[in-house]
Amino acid sequence: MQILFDSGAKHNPNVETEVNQFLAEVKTREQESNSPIIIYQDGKKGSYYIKCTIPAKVVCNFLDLNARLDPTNDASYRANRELLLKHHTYLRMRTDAEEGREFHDLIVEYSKVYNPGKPLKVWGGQHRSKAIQEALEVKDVSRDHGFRVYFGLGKEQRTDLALVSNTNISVSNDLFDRQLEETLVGTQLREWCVRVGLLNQGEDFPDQASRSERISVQLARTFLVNFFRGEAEGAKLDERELDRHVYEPYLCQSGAFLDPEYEEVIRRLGKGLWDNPQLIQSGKAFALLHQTQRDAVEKGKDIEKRKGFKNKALTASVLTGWSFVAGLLQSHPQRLNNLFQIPKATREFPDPLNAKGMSTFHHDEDEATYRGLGTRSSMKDRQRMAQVFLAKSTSPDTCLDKGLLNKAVSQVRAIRSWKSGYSPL
Amino acid sequence: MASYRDFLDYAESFYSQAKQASELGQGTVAERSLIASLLLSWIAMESFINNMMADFAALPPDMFSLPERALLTEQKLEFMDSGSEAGQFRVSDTPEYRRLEDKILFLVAKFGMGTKLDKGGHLWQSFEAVREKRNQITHPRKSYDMSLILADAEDALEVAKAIIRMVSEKVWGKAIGL
Repeated sequence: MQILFDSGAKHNPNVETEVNQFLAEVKTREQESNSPIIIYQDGKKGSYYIKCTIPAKVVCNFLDLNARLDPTNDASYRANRELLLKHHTYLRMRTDAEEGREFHDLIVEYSKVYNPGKPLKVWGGQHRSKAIQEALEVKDVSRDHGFRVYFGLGKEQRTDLALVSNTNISVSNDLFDRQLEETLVGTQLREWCVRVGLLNQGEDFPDQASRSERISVQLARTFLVNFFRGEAEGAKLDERELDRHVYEPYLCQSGAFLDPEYEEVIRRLGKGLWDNPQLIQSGKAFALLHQTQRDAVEKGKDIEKRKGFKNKALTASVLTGWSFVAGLLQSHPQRLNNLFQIPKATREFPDPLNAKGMSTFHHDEDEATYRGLGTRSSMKDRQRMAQVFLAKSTSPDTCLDKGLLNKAVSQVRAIRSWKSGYSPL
Repeated sequence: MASYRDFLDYAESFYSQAKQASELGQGTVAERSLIASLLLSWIAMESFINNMMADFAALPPDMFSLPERALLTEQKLEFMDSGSEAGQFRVSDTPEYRRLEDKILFLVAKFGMGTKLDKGGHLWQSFEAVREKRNQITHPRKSYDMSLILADAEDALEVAKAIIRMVSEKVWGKAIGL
């Protein structure tokens, strides 16, 4: 059988060998008709691939739906999003497959580095692949399907392939974040979250944070970045100055690019970042606050069991505000200790974060449509939440009651006016 | 607790009632609705200004001079003639309520980014006219002719909105939608 390199592809004997191995193992229609196999090369990343057609009864046993970004690392979790087997789109795909639909442009990587019995690692079209498998298994339907098979991928090429393939099916930024994190940084962020209690052992970041009740990659990165930003800011301020500023907690970007602030923290602090004792202590204190809030809402009698109330600590403004202030107070141990004390619950509100009180909060400067504190990720809300936790840190037994929320937000508003227009006597 | 927006809504609602009653020749109903509307417009201004004063009062005490702090918190400034603070001034716990116009003047002078309030201008003159009407209602006397017409309540509503807008622009640097 003839194997040719496309005119746009540079000859590569290793790739040619891999293609031969693949063809020896997986019988394609091109082989049956003795058509030549052409090896193409992606112009942007230089990845090599072939296009071929394979019957379902041949390919199904070779498909691996648990593709990994780092094949050599056992700590690398499944990279793709969760299969949504009850989603109406998937159900339609399965029905189509059972009725003989032929699918095209399924993206797979040929690799025997892990799970060698299933060397076709699926990067694009995992739902279609599953539908093809089920149609064969349940209805014995085998049709011919079109594949792009990649060979000899490097880490960066694999990540790019995963991102591009997933862009086609409009998946969430949370999945991009998870994939990029593992490829460009590693598994340390996830391990750090497990260590401090923000993820359980064996748990991974969610591929769609809005549906999950776990911390996302974006929020975990944000926690780290804010801690160090706050720490740098706090070191410049004496105790008296702390309450005279409006702080700007940062929210990391999410999506196809690694957030530059997070990248900078990793570059600057290196491996020591993950063992930083102050960061670990703060992470644990925050995890405890999150767990206490969840328990209070789940078990409390006088509070609605709303998901938003339960996971209040994981809203962007609350998490950014808290982590920034935890960093800010590193140079002010007494106030840091006060911050770490779980806010007191009262008869009026049984949860430490007073989620209902926050959701009904309204300042005169807010539009009538404002939805309350700790519900949005805008800078205004992040600034306000930082001030709430700063006010909380003034004494160990403070609760986040209406008075404290009012005072904190008043301070944000007043400091802004003060800085822009105060005329001394 | 109702906000200044709620008070403005109530004022508008009573104004509409007064207008309708007036068209139907229901003089008493119209009058009481006009009184309510005018007072609620004033309350809306009070609410907005008091809350803005409270924002500044939430700042660390030493960011203001003692007279400013006394004004912001509406507490009396007193001279201590005994005890450990003898010979010094302090802001006491005794309330000392200030006039709305003084609070507006203070806020604009302190946080108006150098702008001044034009007391001879149309807005301030209208404000003073509304204040006069409001005083006649809240301090009724036989010697006053407290007759109100629709235009009085309408003016009060417009003045309340304009004052709130003006102060928010000068102090917060942004106009709020009303």
